[in-house]
Amino acid sequence: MKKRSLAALVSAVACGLALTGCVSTTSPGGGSTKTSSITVALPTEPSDTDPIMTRSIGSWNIYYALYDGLTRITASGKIEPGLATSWTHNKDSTVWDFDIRKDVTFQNGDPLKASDIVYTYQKILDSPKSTNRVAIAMVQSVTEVKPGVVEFVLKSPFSAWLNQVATIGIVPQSVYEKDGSDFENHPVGTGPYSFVSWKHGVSYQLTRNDKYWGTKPSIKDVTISFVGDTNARLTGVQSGTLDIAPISADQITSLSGSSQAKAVSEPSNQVMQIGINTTAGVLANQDVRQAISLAIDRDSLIKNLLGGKGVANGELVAKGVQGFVPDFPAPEYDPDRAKQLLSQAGYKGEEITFDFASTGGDPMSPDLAQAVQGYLQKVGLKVRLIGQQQTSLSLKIANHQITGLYLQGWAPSSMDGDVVVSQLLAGGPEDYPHDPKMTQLYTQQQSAAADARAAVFEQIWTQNAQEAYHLPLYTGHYSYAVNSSLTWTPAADGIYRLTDISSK
Amino acid sequence: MIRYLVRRLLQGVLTLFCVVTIAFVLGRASGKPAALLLTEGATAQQIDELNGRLGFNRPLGEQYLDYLGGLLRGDFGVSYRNPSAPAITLIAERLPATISLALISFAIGLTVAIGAAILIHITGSTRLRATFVWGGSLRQAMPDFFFGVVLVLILSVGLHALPSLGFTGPLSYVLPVITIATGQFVLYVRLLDSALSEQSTQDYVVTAYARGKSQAAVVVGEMLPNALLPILTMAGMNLAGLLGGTVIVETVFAWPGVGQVLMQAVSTRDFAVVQAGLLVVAIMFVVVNLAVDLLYPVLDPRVRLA
Repeated sequence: MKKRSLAALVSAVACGLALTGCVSTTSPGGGSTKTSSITVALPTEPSDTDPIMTRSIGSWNIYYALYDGLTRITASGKIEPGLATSWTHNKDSTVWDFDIRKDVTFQNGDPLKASDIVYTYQKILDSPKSTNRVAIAMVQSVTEVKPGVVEFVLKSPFSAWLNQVATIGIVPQSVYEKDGSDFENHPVGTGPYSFVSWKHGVSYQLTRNDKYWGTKPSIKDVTISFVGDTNARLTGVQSGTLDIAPISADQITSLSGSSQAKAVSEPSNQVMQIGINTTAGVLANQDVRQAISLAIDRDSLIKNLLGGKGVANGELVAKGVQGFVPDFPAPEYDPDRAKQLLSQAGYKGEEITFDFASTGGDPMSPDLAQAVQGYLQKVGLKVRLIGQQQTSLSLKIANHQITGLYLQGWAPSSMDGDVVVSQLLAGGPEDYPHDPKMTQLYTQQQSAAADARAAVFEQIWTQNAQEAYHLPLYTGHYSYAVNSSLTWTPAADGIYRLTDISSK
Repeated sequence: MIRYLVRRLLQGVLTLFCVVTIAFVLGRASGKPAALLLTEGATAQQIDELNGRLGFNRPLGEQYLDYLGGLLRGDFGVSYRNPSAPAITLIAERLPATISLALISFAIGLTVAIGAAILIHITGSTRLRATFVWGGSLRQAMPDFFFGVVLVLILSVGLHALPSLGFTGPLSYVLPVITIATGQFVLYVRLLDSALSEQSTQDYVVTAYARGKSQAAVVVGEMLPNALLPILTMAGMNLAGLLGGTVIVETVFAWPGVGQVLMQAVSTRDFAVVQAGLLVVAIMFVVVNLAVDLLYPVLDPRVRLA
């Protein structure tokens, strides 16, 4: 709140001092010529951009430009053919065959061979420090079973395999073998953009790959700038220094009336949720957990915190993510029933801790935590907020050290619910109840075919809602400030698909 | 003199030792970082395995001795997030941005402050003094991040005259330099003004006027050397602080300096980078402080080093 009024004050001061600034904003890049180079902002610089070694959300923004996977995840979360033109799998999803696209060349001119794909996967499996290794740990073997066909044998059924292979960028064996750890300084892939330079701490420079096998990008040169401060990103686009930058929901109104920039937002793949250590004190009581869920007015939160850009959620994955069940009921808001449940449970004002990220996480997180605390206090719950840096919270969560409630968004970049269920409900670090029924349902969805799988997910969300293990709150939007001369629809996973950007 | 230097250097080494030790202990106290690398759906066992492979499961004493041993060999460790990047390289590649910004801003701030103070005392204008002092107070009342944002809104968003952020060319320097230099200017102009006022009633000044020297000659030639002494220590500390990276200004302008890389390393628990960065910052302080102490006897013959 403080920050926002300060920003308003700053704007007022600035307008007062520079009258011209608020009246006319003629774009320096404006005019009739098509934009051929743009600068897009990323909040954090990936520390490593080696697609074999590193799996991180930041680096995916670069991987999706430089490399292709066997499949690709579109901006709306659909699976499309990538370097594989088609695929088949056996009944329990343990053996997958991919037909490799012909006539694809790497950016250095070398033709793509099936052996490059086998090499990429094998190299990841053979690199103990690779963070991609965990994502494909279920791979038993990867081989070229006949010319142009790559076969994966998995240790256990895995329905989400098509999503997983989309996130593994294929590298040319000859180059990677020669360069090793230096590969990230002159990477080569088959993707729509080629590497130009990486100025550490400043920017990552890409240029269009004119030999690209798919739809060629409309923008020729792209600079990815690393800008940590959300206000700097906003003013960066307003001033024309940046062309696209992620902003927070409460900054959207700053862009109304600007001719230089517009706000663009798309429903995200994230579910903001309250996690619970269901073994801790009063929270072991299901009635208390239900009361917490009933006490929160999700629609008001969406209206007041997100400016209406969001939907209340009853399941732990968002629309567009595999495992999302349409029409699954949103949780009720009923503070009276909450009070009743609390007295029924014999709650006597025991203090409940509530961890949240005060900095470095979702920008709405501090406001949301306070609003939730307010709702819980209204029904008589005693809640103590514990603010911390996002990293500290992530470590606490990963190390299973939560003592009460915590606020954390979940956004699966693979666009599949498998990882969410495993993490939150089936043995992962955020699974406190260890409900055997959940584990059984989780295993069931891994081998289920598409239709049957949806039914299993519905059972998972129903069981979670009944037991109130994790309390989904809402799915918001990813919002961006965008140069008015550009046309672009952001992706549901918040990762740039640079090919989707075009200029008017 | 040589004994003095040796003693100061030993003190410096001790300081650096304390800094690296504290950085090591505080870093390790915040937990093992592998879980931060494996954000999506890793099991506790996979996290523990990765911690082991990265060397974070070894006894702390062993890790510490390893680290100190490495330092003596000039090995500052590698970033666990990017095993091919030596920590000291990650810091060193940010030094040009930090040092150039620090030196330019500092030099401008100090020079303009000296010029302004001289002008006040040569002209004796109360209006001029009021302008500088009141303007200075106004600037000082604004935190750097606020002042920086105001500059951005006026000059970048409003007038489209300058880039609002980044490190792409000479123009990128303008806004961050104005932000830091004005902050520095305010500090020095007030100190210098009061130091000059203090000097102006001294006997030697009265004598100088009596010898028929002009106002300008007295202010610049007689009073200024004496007035500069009190601000020397402060300027030294400020310069060292600026050379160590200015987190706030770097954040506002997305400036790729040491402050930013340190902040990011802290938030990702990249211990080797934090330790290397703090060591570099500490070295800046030690060196600048030593330089200031060595400069004193040059400017003031009454001071002798012992």
